[in-house]
Amino acid sequence: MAPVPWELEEDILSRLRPRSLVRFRSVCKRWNDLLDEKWFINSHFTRSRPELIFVTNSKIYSIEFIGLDGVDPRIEFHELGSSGIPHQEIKLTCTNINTFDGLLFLNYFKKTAVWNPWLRQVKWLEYEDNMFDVHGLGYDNTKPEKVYKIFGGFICLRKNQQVYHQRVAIYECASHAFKFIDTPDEDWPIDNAKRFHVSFKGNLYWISWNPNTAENYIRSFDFSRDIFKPFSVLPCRKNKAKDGLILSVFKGDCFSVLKLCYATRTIEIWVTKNKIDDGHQVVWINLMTLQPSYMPNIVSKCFGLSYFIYDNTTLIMACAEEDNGAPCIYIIKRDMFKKIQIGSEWLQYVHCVYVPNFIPLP
Amino acid sequence: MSSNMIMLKSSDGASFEIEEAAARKSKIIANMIEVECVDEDKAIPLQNVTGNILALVIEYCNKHIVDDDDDVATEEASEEEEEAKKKKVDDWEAEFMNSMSLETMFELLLAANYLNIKSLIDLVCQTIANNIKDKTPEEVRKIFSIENDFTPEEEEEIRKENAWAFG
Repeated sequence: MAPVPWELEEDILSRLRPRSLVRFRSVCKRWNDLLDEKWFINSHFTRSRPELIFVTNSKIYSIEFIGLDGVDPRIEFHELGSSGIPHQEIKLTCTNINTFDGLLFLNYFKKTAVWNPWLRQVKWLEYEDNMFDVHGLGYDNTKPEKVYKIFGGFICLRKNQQVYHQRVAIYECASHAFKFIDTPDEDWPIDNAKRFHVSFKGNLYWISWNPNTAENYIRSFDFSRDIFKPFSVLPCRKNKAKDGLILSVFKGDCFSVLKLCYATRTIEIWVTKNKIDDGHQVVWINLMTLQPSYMPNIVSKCFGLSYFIYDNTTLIMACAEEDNGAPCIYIIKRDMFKKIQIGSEWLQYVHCVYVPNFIPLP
Repeated sequence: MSSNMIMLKSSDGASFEIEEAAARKSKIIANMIEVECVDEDKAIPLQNVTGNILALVIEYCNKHIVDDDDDVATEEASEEEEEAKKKKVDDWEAEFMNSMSLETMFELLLAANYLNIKSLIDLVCQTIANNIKDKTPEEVRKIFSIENDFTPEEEEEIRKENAWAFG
């Protein structure tokens, strides 16, 4: 076949999924080196499509979506091998997984790692006090260098009382020092920060609840000043305990909130009108309301719910089956509903949405 | 809609008549028209494109000129109409590419690049990417006429490291 100019070859390659690109590393030196070039990494990342990552207590899987534009989308299921995570670590129980600046953030009991499986790079963040309960990762985004800070808590004995409560603390990876963070009161709930946080430009965001106004709102932790901040009141609220509210990043620099209303069996997707950090007041828009023929009950919080929106029209969602806790993937459009059950034998698993890329660890 | 017709001539001497609006999809031809180096009676010679490929390019341009006109005319078109229209174009493009061999795709890509038709470059690059995604490194070398410049040891090493992407 007629050889094509370089830039066309690169254009084609930037449209491939990492799985293919990793396989094509052995085509020639130029193709191998391309995956280390910053401009290629960026142009590939902007074209890359979200996948789902599942970590069970023995294996790690990526799930790709094929044909989301068509009438019969399907999934492709791949085992990620160890791809940098030592086998004995995979055997441990991963307590949560999240994305962090294009990397994966894995939290094991007493161990925390940032990871890019496609580059087989992993970095374990050590902290000496093993009573520290890690929630999330961040950095001061006003500084040129990304110096990691770990957000978490210690269980402490309350003064003059024989009761335990959690105190928020930050571990600074550069100085290896813990720093306690004051909260308005001792019952300040940060559970959601651990299981359902979103990381955006170094800071953490999660859905919280104001007991005085009964409103749901997004709270953030700002790592440049080490303080809690309210971000925005939500456009929808939880009516019943069985309802679900899940925060996610939308189109790279906006937020979305998925509301699952158990009573009316509807799913609402709300998105922010503007980019998150552009200084505007946060305005929410109802992107879609779906009434699928079957509605999962996501109250089983221990298995979580991950989702992303494709092309403003399609909701892709992963959560557990109500009766047996087996993971299911849902692909829902106005005129389509598809449920795919996976890993019925998995006893324990965590999952997140991930846009695969070749961004190296700092 | 009345419009000017212009003539294009392929490298192997075939002549094609095309609406000016369709031909303007090519930045190169649009430029030629702007600077008035197009003689109304003479065909524009395209030395790098053969007749069979030029026919495909023209088929693509003709199909897409209509859609561009619609975009301007129907600003208040409903979301559903927009969606339906987009789907129609997507279906046409899928059908258009589906009948093509990889070899033709590469020739079409070169032609689209030479004529500078951005949307056609995107379409062909994406289709080629979809075509090669499950292939082996050996097959890909053949497709792109790439010479393997690794030593057998280096190649073995890279393959071993990335063995999990072969499953």
